[in-house]
Amino acid sequence: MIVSMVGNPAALMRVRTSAVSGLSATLLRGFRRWLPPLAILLSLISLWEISMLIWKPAAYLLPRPHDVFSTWIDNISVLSQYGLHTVRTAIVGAAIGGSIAFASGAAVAPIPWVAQPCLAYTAMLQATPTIVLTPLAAVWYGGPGTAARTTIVAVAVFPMMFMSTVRGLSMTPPELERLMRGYAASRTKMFLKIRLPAALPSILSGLKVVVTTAMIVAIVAELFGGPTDSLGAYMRQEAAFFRSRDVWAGALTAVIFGLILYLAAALLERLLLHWDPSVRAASTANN
Amino acid sequence: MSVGEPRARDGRSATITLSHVGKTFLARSGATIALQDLSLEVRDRDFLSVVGPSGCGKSTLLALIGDLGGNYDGEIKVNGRSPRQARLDREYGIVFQEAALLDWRRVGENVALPLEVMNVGQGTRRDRQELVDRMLELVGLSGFKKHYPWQLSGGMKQRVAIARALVFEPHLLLMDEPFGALDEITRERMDLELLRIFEQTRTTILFITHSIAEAVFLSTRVAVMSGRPGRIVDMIDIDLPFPRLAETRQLPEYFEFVTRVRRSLTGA
Amino acid sequence: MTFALGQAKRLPSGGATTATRRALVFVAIPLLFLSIWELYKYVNGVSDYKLPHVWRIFTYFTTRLSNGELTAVFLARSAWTTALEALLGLAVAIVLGISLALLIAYVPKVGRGVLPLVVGSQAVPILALAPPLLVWLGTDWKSKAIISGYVAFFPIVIFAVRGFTSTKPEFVLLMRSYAASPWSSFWKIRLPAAVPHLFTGLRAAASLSVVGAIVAELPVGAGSGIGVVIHDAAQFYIFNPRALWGATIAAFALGATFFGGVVLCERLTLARLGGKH
Repeated sequence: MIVSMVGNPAALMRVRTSAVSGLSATLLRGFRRWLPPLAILLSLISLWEISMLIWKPAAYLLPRPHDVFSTWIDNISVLSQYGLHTVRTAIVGAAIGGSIAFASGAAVAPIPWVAQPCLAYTAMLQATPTIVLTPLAAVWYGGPGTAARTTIVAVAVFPMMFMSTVRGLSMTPPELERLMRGYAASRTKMFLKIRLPAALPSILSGLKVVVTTAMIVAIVAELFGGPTDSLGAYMRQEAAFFRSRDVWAGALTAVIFGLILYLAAALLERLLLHWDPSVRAASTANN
Repeated sequence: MSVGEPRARDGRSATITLSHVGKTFLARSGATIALQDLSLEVRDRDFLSVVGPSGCGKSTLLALIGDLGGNYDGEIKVNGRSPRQARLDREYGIVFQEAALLDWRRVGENVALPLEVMNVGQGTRRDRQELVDRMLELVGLSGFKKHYPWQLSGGMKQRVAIARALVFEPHLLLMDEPFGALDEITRERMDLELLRIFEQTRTTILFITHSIAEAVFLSTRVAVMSGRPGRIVDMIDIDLPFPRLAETRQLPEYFEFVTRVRRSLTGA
Repeated sequence: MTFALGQAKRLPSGGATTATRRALVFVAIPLLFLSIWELYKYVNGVSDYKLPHVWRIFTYFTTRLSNGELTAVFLARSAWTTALEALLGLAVAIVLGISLALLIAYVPKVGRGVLPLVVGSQAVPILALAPPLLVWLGTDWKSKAIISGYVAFFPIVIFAVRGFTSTKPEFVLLMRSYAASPWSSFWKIRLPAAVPHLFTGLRAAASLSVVGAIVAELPVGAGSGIGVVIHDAAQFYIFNPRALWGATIAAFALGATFFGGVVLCERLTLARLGGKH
């Protein structure tokens, strides 16, 4: 077919997977892929630094990059500790919200006339600012502590996971269903062997979003008050004292932890779905 | 073979000449030689089909002619010009295996697309509509001008694609397995439609197919292509009379030609 | 190409009885939710402080404030202030987002460098950076709009890039065969084909812009947006528990309205573009 022969001129960002993959080849590919964004990032930071030198705004407003970096290094153990605390909130919340979403999604998916209204409501839930529930959660738990934050993360994460699960479970190829029915397979076997694996791409792709959302929601929830040994609360506190360098150092920590979580989820996806061609293509493209 | 009375032409003819054309694809896994030392001539008012096994490079051949591929070795001349120049001069229309209609436009608007892009139609919308109407009548879809692509069957979509390819009146039509995605009954009907269009418009047609029967039925000449690396191994004049009808498929000469082509193909 | 609305894949629908069942379930879910609320309250004896009765919350909207204004009106006014901030942020996000997406899609060398940064920028907790930023930018509505826009920016770029780079190869070749100008190809093919993707991004961006505006209002605590109302209601919860519930519901309504607005635009646009859905 002419299109496949000619190749896709619209493939603006496709990096071809190599059939041969040695360690050096992989490293080289990784290096080549990450060089442009790193280069741009470094130039932006340099621009920031230079602008600061030229215009000299007050330090409490916008800190200089190298100040932020040195502050970060100085406080790295404390920040990492806080970061882990936040990550814990995020992961626990995501786990709770995610498992409830998964369970209800799996329960509801086989019954279309229940699933569709549920999907409509979850879409509405996702459209609304669930973070604003944090003060209410604080009231409920008697204080804006970890429990309240975790609950908010769980609620924020629920819609995405629910929709990914339901969508994934409805993607079972009908031929496979018929095959299993021919084997007179039990419903459990059918679920475990066919529906669930077929649903994994959708679920794991949703997981990547869930993980980043969880981190951000956790940090924002911490802004509402509560124990200060977490990143969001720390940043709020430092902001109140106009210690902008510490605020940005906290943000830097948050970014790093967020990226680690995302990479973990992406790695999980890659491991579980190594057979899926779209995942292989996506893993080499910028997605 | 006779193609009937030509309609008035402006003296232009459509020809394609390929001399010792080669094409190599470079990939990380190595180089693939798609075409090698391929020579072919398409004469004015030919209906030339290229048949060959899958992957032999037929589509690559068409892409190079249309300047839709990359570089190549050898020489290609379309109407005496380089493929690039021919493309810039809008010398040909093209039909793919997939109709590639714009879902968000009606049938009439789809057919008008090249006119809009090429600023044809003497600039007035009414002239453009006339051309569109004429084309729709040619392919037998006059009543469907306001329809949307999703309302059409596969065969109808391809007819729209053909109308779109001819609306700016090129003398050359490139077709890449246009009926490959259709069922056999529809395909046979489309073959008859295409022959009618061919006779009415006197367009030169270069037709890629992997169906021997279709190639013989439609063409004035059949070029047989070898497997990779692709080259033309045989050129057979199909001396069947025009107009070609469903009955033509019953003629003993038809079967002979099919056998000849098949022998060339499997021998290659 | 289907202009599929909604985020879920279409599940098979049956005949008339299924439609009735679906409608019943649709109505049943909120009723179920409210019943569980009251039941939980009854069984566990939760105080009215922590969990007011459902009807009490609804009657709150009809009460009057100290200045005689109807609560519902007050909340609507506050929500409107926030809405303006969010709309401005959304507008800026759309303009900048699509421009950046065009750059990324049409200049691959730049795109390869910029896109990962855009993805990474989602990890930056801008909402936590809001306080110092607000001090720097000023505490008026403009700075809140900027924060709202930053948060909404991300999905617009991501989906717009996806939309602009997912043109069917046949279309690209077709335009090439017409020797079409790049502008012609963009306007006639790439842009219309990208519209569904653009709306997917817009839907997410609409909700995020509301979140951004509300959270941006929180640290300052002064002003008149719904975020401020929530902040105050939370602080003074002991005096008036229902205020927080009412304000939260108003915030939810705001988010839902934005989302609904986008969905409406989407349906109108797709109807005009004539795709089936």
